Amino acid sequence: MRASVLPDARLARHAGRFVWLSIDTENARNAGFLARYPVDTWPTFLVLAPRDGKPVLRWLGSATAAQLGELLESARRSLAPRPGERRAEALLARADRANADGRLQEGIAGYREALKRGGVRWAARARAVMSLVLALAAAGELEACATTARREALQLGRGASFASVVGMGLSCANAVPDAPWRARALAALEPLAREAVGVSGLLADDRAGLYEALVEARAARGDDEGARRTAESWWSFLERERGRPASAEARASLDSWRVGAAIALGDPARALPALEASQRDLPRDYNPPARRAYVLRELGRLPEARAAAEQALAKAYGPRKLKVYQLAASIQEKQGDRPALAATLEEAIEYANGLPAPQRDEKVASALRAKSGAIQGQ
Amino acid sequence: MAAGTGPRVIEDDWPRAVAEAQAKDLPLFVDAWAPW
Repeated sequence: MRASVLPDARLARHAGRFVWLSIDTENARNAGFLARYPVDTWPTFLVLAPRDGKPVLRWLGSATAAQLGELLESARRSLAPRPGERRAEALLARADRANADGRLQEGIAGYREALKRGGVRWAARARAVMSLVLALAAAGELEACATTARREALQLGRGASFASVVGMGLSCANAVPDAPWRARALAALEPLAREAVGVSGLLADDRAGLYEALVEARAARGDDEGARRTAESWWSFLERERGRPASAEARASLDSWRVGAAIALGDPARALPALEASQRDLPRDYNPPARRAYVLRELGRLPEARAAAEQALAKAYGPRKLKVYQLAASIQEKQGDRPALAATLEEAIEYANGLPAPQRDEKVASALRAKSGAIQGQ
Repeated sequence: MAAGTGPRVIEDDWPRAVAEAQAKDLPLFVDAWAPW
């Protein structure tokens, strides 16, 4: 986002209307911010009121420059409502505040009311629909997320917002393997997602996310051949993106999708050339060696996987480093190297204990402690 | 994508951003991201 969306000319008019802050949630310097504004989705955008820091708007996930511009406009209106403003806009602003403040049910009710008041031709309809579907997903109301996405998407123009809404809906349906409503939701959303993946003007990250959701949906419907074909299309898209002129950071930003697509194709080795290139281009970034370690482990090339994991550990920082420790431990376990495994787990637990509380992932820390205990008990 | 004059972004310094937002009476836009 920082590299691709914020410099977009369409946001230039907002430059002097806000103070702009970038927060790396892995950086220990930002523990205080995270204690007040916890973040569990990346990226998360927040707009905070100038005097008391109260959240006015919270947006989970990426946004195109046009979508972000619309969000910023909404936030400004919310902070300085104009006399005679339409009722629907006022309801949307109120829902945004509730949602940003974690009062999800109030936000959901508010978005529904705003949509009802705004009507089908309301200029802010697509934005309000996205906010509603995101809030439903965040609240764990996955059936409502999927059905709302489907119903509303049918009325949206075929642009980035349509693709976002459909992608969110399909992800909600994919997330619940045993739900009785899932098959119906997948059948309704999948054709829309196939349409969405071809919409122009999407962020590459969002298009890749749509492909992943489509592969999962095919697999969930028992169509392994269809899933494979979709994964091939996903891979072709990622290869085309790799061939575009872009910064090393922009190219590497799609690496996790490359790994996902290669794994979905049952051919993890496909991802290695891109990961090796990213490691060469970005020597200080722990992600390329961590991803290489994962792929090499899947390929059973354990000594190379272990070396890559060690490279990643030497560069990793913050809460995510615990995941790299877990990866290194899993490789050592496959190698049957118990002393190394025990030492890695011990080091990981010590590292976890030293993280600031708002940045400590207790679930991962507990898993590391449980694993260490199990090893010692053997 | 059209490149333009992007905003001046404060990196990883919440107290400074809050002070600036209060001094200028401007809302604070936060991009919370992670390096993966």
